[in-house]
Amino acid sequence: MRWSAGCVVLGTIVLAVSSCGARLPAASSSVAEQFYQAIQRNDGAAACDLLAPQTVHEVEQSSQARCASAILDEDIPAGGTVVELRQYGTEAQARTGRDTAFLADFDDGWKIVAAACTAQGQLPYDCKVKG
Amino acid sequence: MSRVRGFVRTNSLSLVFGGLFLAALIGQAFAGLAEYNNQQITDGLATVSFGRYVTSADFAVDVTENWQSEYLQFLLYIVLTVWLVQRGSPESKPLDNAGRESDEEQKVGAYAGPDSPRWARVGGWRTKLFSSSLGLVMGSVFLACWLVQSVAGWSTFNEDQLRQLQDPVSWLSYVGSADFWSRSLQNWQSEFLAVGSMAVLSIYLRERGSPESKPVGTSHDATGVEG
Repeated sequence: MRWSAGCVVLGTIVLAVSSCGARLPAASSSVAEQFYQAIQRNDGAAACDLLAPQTVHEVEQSSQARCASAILDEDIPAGGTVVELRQYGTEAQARTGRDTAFLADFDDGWKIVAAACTAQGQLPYDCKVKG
Repeated sequence: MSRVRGFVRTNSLSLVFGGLFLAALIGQAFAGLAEYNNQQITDGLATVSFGRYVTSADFAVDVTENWQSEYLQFLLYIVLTVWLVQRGSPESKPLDNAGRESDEEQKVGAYAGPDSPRWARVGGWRTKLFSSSLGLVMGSVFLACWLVQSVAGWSTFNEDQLRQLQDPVSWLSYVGSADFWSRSLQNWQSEFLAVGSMAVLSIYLRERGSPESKPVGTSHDATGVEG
């Protein structure tokens, strides 16, 4: 019984460490920075490669154009490094000094689900690009 | 072979419940994985593997919210039945025997028998600790499970927040949230109902041969009599 209690406590510590909002560089943070860098150098194809499939679909649907060109018209604050990353399970939120993006973990790595997001208090962020 | 059969026969209660527990936990893992992946597909997100799901906060919170409530139920039952009685219930002590009882009744210290556990015989802090060890361990497991529920629930809650393009919250905010208390209280109410109805129904109803029931012919007024 003592052993099982120990396991539960150990489980708590492992969960606490693995679940907390991380502030260290992570794969999701790197993807967010690559996305903003692609936007900065007007490389729409590279930016769209980092978008989630649903988001690519939504961008193309709403603009009636290919993602690679449409994404550059979305007025996404370009460049910058991630100053805050909060990651829980398969979801993450990355903040640069200029923008907030949301990411999700897919089979082929982290992808941007929403970008160019503005906080609205208790309501969901208002995002110019989202899936 | 007969020694094995003897072991199985004399430990059948814990073996069967251990087996049922594992079967139900594995079933929960597969059902939970299917539910999680259905939601992921609906949201246009990637599905996860069995291994990733059973090590996720989503699975951990679903498991521990039930574990904590079970240990709380038994903790309260073990401790409250020291002082609280129920006329006619086999789950209750005799009505005039409420409380910690005498050393003689509890076979501790000078009243310990040759086969009593050593910590019941030695007296002092060890006997005191041993005298409350069941409640202390059940209480510790309850608190540990509740803590894990709060951490895993916090992570799952924040994963949902991010999925809905909302900011995550701190652990302290989460333990004051409706989600945490809804998960806790919905489990607690069912445990309290089950224990309360067991204590009352066993006054009037019988299960022949069960130690949780009075013998079938025992009067409804008989208290603390087990079959």
